[in-house]
Amino acid sequence: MAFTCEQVARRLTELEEGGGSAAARLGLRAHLALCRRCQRYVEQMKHVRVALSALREETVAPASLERALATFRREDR
Amino acid sequence: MHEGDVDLVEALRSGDEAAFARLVTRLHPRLVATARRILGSNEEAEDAAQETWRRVVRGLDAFEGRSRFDSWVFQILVNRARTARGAAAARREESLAADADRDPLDGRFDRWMQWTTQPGSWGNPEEEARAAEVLRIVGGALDTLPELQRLVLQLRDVEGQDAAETCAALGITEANQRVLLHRGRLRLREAVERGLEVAHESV
Repeated sequence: MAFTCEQVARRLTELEEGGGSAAARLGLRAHLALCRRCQRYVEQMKHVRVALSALREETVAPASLERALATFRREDR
Repeated sequence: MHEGDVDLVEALRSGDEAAFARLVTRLHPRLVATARRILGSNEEAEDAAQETWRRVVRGLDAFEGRSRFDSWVFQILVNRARTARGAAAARREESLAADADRDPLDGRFDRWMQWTTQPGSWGNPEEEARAAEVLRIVGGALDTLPELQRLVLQLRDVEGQDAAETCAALGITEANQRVLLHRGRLRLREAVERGLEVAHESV
C-alpha cells in the first residue's frame, strides 16, 4: 500500500495506536524511509508528546494528603 | 473487577488508612492537574479533587469494577469539575470550540497529496534551550484547545494513561478518542511551529 504525504499526516496517530491494517503500517514505514518531510513531521509529533509528558506532576502537597486522610477517617464507617 | 484492583478495594473497604494514603499519593497530583484543565484555577482544582476523594470513600461499597479503579476515580473527578464549572461556562466553552473541528492539516497538501509547505525546522529540540521553549509553548497551547481535546491529551500524553482508561474516564468511544488525540497533537505541533516562528521552507 503506497502512502502519500497527506495519508501519512492524517493517519499517523491511528497507525501508531495500532489501528489500520498491517499493510497500512508497512506502507507508512515505507513512505517514511524515503520522505524527509514526513520524517520531520513524525519527529515533531514525537516532540509534542515528549513535551506533554514533561508536564506531569508527581508530588502531593502534605496538606492535600492530610485533608484527604481526614475525609477518609470521617467518611469511613 | 480487574485483577490489580481487588487488593486495593479490599484494603480500602476494610478501612486501611495506609492503603488510602498510598492511593492519594499516587493519584492526587494527577487529579488536580486534570481538574485544572477544566476549571483553570489551582484552588478550585484542589477542591474538586478533595470532593472526589469524599465520593470515592462513600462509593467504595458500590464500586462494581466495571472499569479500572483509577478510571472510576477519574470519571468522578471529571464529572465533579464539570459540575463545578457550571453549565453556562460549558456552553461558552462549546461556542469557543466552534472551530474545534477545523482540521489543522487542511491546506497543507497539494493535489498530488504532497506537503505544500514543508514542516518547518525546529532546530534541535533535544538541545536544552530549544526543549524549554517547546515545553513552554506546548504547556500554554494545551489550555487553548477545546475541552475534550485538552482532556484526552492530559490523560493520554501528560498522565500516560492508555486509550481504554481515557475512554472510560471521559465517557467517549475509542474512535472518538483517537480523533481527539490526533487533532490535539496536530494543533500543538502547529502551535510550536508558529511559536518558534520558523520560516516555512518552500518546497
